Amino acid sequence: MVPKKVLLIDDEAAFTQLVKLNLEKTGKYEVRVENQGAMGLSSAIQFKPDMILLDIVMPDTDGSDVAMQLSENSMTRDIPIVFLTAIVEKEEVDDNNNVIGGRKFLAKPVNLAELMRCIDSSVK
Amino acid sequence: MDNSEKKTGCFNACDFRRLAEISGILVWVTDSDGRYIYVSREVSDILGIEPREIMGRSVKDFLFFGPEEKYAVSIAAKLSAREAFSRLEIEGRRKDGSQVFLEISALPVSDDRGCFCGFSGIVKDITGYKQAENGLRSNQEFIKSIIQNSAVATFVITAEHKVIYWNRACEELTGIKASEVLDTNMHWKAFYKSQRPCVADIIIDGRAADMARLYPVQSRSEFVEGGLHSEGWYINLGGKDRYIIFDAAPIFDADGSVVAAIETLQDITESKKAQEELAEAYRQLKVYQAQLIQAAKMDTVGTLASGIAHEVKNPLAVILQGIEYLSRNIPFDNEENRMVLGFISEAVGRADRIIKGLLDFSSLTEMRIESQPLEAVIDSALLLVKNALDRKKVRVVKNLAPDMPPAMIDRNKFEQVLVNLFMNAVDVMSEHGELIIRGYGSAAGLGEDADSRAAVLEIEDNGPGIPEENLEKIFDPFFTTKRRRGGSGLGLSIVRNIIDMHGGRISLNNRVGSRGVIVQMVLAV
Ligand SMILES: Nc1ncnc2c1ncn2[C@@H]1O[C@H](COP(=O)(O)OP(=O)(O)O)[C@@H](O)[C@H]1O
Ligand SMILES: [Mg+2]
Repeated sequence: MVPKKVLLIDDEAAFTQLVKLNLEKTGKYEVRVENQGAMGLSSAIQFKPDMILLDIVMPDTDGSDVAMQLSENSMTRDIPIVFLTAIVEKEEVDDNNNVIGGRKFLAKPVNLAELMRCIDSSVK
Repeated sequence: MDNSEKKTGCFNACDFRRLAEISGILVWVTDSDGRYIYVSREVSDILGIEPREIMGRSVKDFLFFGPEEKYAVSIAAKLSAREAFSRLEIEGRRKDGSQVFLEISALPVSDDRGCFCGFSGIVKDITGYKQAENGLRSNQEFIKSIIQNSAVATFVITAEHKVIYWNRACEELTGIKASEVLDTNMHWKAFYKSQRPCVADIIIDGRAADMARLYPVQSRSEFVEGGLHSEGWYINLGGKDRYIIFDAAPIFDADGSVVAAIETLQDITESKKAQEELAEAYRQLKVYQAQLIQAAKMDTVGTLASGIAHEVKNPLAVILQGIEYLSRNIPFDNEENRMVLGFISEAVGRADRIIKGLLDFSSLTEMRIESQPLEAVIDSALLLVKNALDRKKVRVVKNLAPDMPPAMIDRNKFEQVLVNLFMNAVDVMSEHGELIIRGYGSAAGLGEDADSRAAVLEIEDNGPGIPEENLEKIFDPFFTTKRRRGGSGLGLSIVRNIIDMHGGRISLNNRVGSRGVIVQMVLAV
């Protein structure tokens, strides 16, 4: 089975490293980490992920800007994005099937099982 | 010495004259025909007429006092009846026309044989006394008219507590006529239902120490030595409630003892009201200020809470991922390691819940409108006001139709709406009031389309309702009739806000039949 390619864009380095470790340990995923929002688009173009986990609150370019750039580029436009952020409440997300305003969300802190379920459901 | 002197044994005309002249008294004598045969020269001092101008004239023509008919008639009557008269006071004119007061006495004179031979009389100039006396009288009149015409309500009592002055302004202010209290000691009647000392009485009795007991607001006078001051509200004084300032002061006689006390009353109701309104406005301003500060604080707490939540959740996310990693990568046989990881992961969960609680508390979590059965919210709101309901022994009647659909509400916010409405109802109800909560479905919904449905909730109390003039204002922020009991006036404006946020409608039925207020809410389903 080909591992699913996941791009994780988040400024919290420790978080991204651990998520990468945890996901790759399962053998089902290949994870690329990007800690700078501004580099999000180019990383996506290079890596060609199956889906993107995107933080919202980041110091330079925030998640909504990155999402905008991704949607405006023909090479990245169709890559599914899940916002992985602390600004939403777990209940809000769960109650709405992970969707708020047409966007998919995951609330931090998230455990591995939830994360995997979400990635799998995003990648057809 | 001449014989006749010896014969009569009294003084003769010559001696008489001399005596008259040294006495300084005007003396006159007539013959039996009533003609002056002697007038002493004082007549010129007193009346400015020379004796020779009078001598030989008849008393009928000249009676010393000029043309005053009223005296002429009575004196002429006495003279023709040959009657004596004594110290008759008359008012006359000097030759120059000026006023003179005279006291006339006269005796019929008889000769040795007892034959009437004329009148002799004296005239005393009493103009000086008279003017002093009149002066005194007019002085009293003057004082009386000063008091009477003063625009300041004034009364005066004597050392025996008898009212001697009660001026027009005092009548006006107290509604008590001078005739009711003058010469009595019933002046207290104007102010009190039962007898008690007025400030003037306290002055008379010299019991200034009683002031504190009798008058809540009182002091010594700033202006008058020995004066006392008090002020206060007097209910139904002269037809209305008034705020009166009383000032009383002692009146001393020449020896320095208190012979009377004067008391003035000033009605400062209008300025007192204005002052109280100002104080109230100032207090309200303070309350608003406090509310604004509180609102600003809550806003800060909210901002702070969401900031903290975000900052804390990120490290929590790291820890959680760390746990996940470790739990898969430590040796299976090490139970201890697993236990420690269990503790850490449990602690992360707890920290996460605390953060959520903080967000809820600052109620920053946005509106979450969901279809909810209203009964549960009603019950939890009732539970929150249970204390107040029980204290007033309010009976709660819940009348929810089975066909009432669940409504689209944010549970917390709608609970806040109900708590506010319940509290308003409880506030106006007397003991054993009845709070009716009525719910039903309505075919006429909120939207335009005919078949949209709605849930209707009515809250009814049997209080006094809302006065017409307040109906427009009750939804205004800060409008309250319970300021003194700590009302903020924010309840209904919050209620309206929340209902607006729900896209619902709220309306008010005031005093229909015997009921108080019915608040009706129409909510989307
Ligand atoms: N059920 C009611 N019956 C009579 N008056 C009411 C009722 N509800 C509200 N009011 C009037 O409306 C005013 C404003 O109410 P509200 O905005 O809740 O503020 P508060 O309760 O703090 O006064 C109240 O002070 C009261 O005069
Ligand atoms: Mg209220």
